[in-house]
Amino acid sequence: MDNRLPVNILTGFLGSGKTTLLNRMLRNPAFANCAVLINEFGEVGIDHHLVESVEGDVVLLQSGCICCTIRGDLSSAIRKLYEQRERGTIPAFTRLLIETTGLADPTPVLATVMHDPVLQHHFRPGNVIATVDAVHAVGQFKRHPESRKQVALADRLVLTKTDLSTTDSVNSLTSALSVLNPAAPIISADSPLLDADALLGQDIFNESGKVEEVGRWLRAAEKRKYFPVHRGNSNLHGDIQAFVLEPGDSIDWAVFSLWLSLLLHRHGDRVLRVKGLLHVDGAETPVAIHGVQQLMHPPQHLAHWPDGVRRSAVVFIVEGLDPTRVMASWRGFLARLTDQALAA
Amino acid sequence: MCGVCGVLGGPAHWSSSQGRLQLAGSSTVRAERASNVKLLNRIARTRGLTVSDWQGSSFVVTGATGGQEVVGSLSDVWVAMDRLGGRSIDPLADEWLD
Repeated sequence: MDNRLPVNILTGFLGSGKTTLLNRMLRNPAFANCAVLINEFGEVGIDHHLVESVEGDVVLLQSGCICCTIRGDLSSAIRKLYEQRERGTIPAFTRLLIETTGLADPTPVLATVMHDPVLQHHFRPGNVIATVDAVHAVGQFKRHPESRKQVALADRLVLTKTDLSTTDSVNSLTSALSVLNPAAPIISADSPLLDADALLGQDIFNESGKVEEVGRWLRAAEKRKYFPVHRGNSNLHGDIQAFVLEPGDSIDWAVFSLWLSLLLHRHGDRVLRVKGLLHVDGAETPVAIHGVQQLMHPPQHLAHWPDGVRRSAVVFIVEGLDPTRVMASWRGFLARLTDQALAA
Repeated sequence: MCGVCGVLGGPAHWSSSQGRLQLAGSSTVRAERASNVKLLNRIARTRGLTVSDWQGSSFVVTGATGGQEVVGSLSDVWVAMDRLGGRSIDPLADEWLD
């Protein structure tokens, strides 16, 4: 069992209602033990006893990609919080929530949690939540590629300001979002059913919820086996596309992981998300994989197949990559690397 | 440290099944690395390179002219292959497509 403290990232474009959502979540008694780090204090104040700010530097590791960028300022801030928690000078928080700036790419924040030599033993990544402004998102998607990327990277999408928009606009935006990121549930911030646990608590690392979480990915995949986004409004999506790779049954884990590792080495900056479930050769239970750009989480078993259906499927969200080439690449590697292929 | 192999090492690469996946006939760290090295060589030979395991803790990538790099993880193997092979390996290039 993973006893590390979950770290959630709250992202979203400038003015999309991150802090308002944060305030609402923190009023929920279920999040009384949540510590909060924010990049910059905005116009909306936060009334919470465990709020710290982060300012400062960025450390680029040797490989030079953004996913290996450990933010020294963030690392120091989280370590400081953890030390205070251990000394008992602050309450023993059970979750950390980081609110990024509106223009931020959440990937380096995830990289910091996953790769910092100290933090990785005490913290684990949790869901990334992106707020989407129902009034301005369409314009932002057209003008600001970072806003599209925030949506594509998220595990949960929260629609804000729906009361200021028309029903048709909200429906249209929801359709666009579900194409851009088919695996992320879309939740209205105005909904009385806004469930903080569904936003933060249910994630792939959560023992009780991970089968349901992966089941959601696969149901989204089933609906959209392969769908070029450009059939929709390409102004909204830019070059971002989602597609499903069905790698087959009884997959050789070594072959698949080598292929994916090489794909991410070469094109990881354009593979925004990978989420999937594999029937691995020799494994009795399904194996879930997921990652953000080059940041792959270690594989983990699920107790059973979601919905009782045994089928390998991997959802990719890519930017500027041709899905047909990715699928052909997997088949090509499988043909070249497997022993059966060589023996034939 | 792996109790069977006596292999010391840092954090495992995400692709390692050791301690994470329960596979029938599970292998040791060394056996898994030997299997991975076999597969890596099928990729490496397209650039005239070879890959070998060193003590279960590092990989040695050797170029066609004898140049070598000792690297720690699978991610570093790809970087070394790019450097020693003269031409990077792109899994989406025509040569790798089905």
